[in-house]
Amino acid sequence: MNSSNEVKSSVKQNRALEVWKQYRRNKGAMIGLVILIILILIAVFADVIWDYETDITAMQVGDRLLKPCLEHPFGTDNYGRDMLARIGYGTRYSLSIGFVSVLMGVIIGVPLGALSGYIGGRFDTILMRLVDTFTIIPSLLMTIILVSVLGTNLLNLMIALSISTIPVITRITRASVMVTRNSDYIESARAIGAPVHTILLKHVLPNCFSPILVQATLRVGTSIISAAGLSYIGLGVPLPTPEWGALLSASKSFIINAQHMCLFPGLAIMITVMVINLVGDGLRGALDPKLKR
Amino acid sequence: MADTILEVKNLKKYFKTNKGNVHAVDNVSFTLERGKTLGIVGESGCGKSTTGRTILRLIEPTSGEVYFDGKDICKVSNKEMTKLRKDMQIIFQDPFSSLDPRMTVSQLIAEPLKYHKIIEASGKELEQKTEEMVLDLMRTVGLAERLYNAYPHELDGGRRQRIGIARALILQPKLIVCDEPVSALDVSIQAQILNLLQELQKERGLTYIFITHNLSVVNHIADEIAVMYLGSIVEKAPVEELFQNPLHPYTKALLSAIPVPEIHKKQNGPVIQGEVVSPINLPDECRFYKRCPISCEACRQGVPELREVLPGHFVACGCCQ
Repeated sequence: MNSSNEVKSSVKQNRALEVWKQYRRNKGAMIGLVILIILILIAVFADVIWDYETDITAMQVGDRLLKPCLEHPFGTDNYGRDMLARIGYGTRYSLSIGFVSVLMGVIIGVPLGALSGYIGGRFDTILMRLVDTFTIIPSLLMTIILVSVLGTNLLNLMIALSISTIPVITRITRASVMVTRNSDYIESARAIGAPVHTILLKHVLPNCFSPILVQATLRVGTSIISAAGLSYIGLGVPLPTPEWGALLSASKSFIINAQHMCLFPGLAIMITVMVINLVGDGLRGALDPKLKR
Repeated sequence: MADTILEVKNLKKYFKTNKGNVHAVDNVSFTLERGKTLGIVGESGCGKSTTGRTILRLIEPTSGEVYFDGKDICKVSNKEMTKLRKDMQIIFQDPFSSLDPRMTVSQLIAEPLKYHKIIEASGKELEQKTEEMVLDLMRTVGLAERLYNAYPHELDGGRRQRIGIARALILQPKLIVCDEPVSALDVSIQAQILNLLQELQKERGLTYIFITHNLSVVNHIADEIAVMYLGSIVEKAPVEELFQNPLHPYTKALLSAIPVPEIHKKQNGPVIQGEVVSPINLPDECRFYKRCPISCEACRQGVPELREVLPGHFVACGCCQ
């Protein structure tokens, strides 16, 4: 008995460690994770690296519209402010908008979708028609309406964006729950007497994880872009906050003689969205035991 | 009747569709003695699996009574049903889809223990005892210990089915519904699993309801056989009796269809013509009437009742005596 226990424990592994091992094999996901961590660090320590008053908002008209040089690697904007500092500081706003709005959407959307898909019947019909009414309105228009009703600030922007995320997440969750619900292992769980909430949380949802995760990571990108778009038309975070969309929006009048002003914020958005997708893809692969190699 | 563990009375399950009610299980009645095996055979779609699942109340019956150890399980509350589930388990047909792909072998086997208090302990001790119990059971069903932390997709069908069996056994049930447990496996593994099931039955005094469409399998394992056609039992008899003296024309045809490993062997016995009637809105006559080689007038006057023609031998046919 003793010796056999040793054999077994050598095979036994910590689940988290196993996931990490699996994740590490995916090179793209690792690169994504490193860049994401750097971005998060920049966002967290933005006020240590840059001083909001002097570096971000103070104008130096003499240095206006400088091309990228040693002193200003990303150049300066139309008020002579360093673009690197502004984009760096903007990480804070854009990342938090992306993550928080999606998180809110997931927190509300996943339970709704799961219940709707699992219970079915009239509950499902009513909820889905309700969700439909939200999807009928184009999400950007929806966000614009909400922001103009609630007022323009960071929190309201997040709420507005999450409201357009909820229907997407609800539908995805519902669809995959409906598929999983009818599988044999759910019936097997019922046969051994597992209570409904356990079945939902332990068997149904983990097996619906992939599509939800993929959708959520995609939505982080979409939310950042939507927020950028809203800032572009002046409904996002009010000036002079250096949110990436706002930076892009400010660049539009100078696009002929200062391309760097739109290039770098645009690149920042693109890289962030890409990185989040890479990490999401890596997570999906690492969490699914079937994809183990 | 001696020690009856299960009594099913007029069990019905109709599925509502747009075209009408599908009679999946129609007036099924039987009794089962403790420690015995009842084989339910029939072609695809005749309601074998639905019967098995309705008996476990995994599907709510439309009407009828199922007495398990004297208790009508169709009337108990959900809470009591959960308690009863400890005593009645199921082994699924497809070992590839009946195991949660995200759980390891040990988690799968130990899962039932979370919902039923079988081990009297808590904390560390519970963990240790659970582990011992799982390892013990893995040995019983023939799973190597190194598979303790494996995922089901890493294993072949036979091993997966052993996990399914272990999962059913860990609660020490009295009745196990085996829903075609070997039909998804290849023949050499089929024999292993059947022998395992038989050994377990001897050791633990289990009662089986063995659902299958394979007559050779049922011949090997069952004590009694019920033949189903379109949701109803058409004939029920002890194994030897049924194989030697089949009465219902459908049973005769089924038995003559068993392949015989002999070249130039002529097929004798009746061959059924036509196709199964749609199970929606059935006419009030014998279900088999349109395909029956005998098709006598008596079978047109309502659905024939299951009658005891010889001791222990029941048949639902108007003209077989």
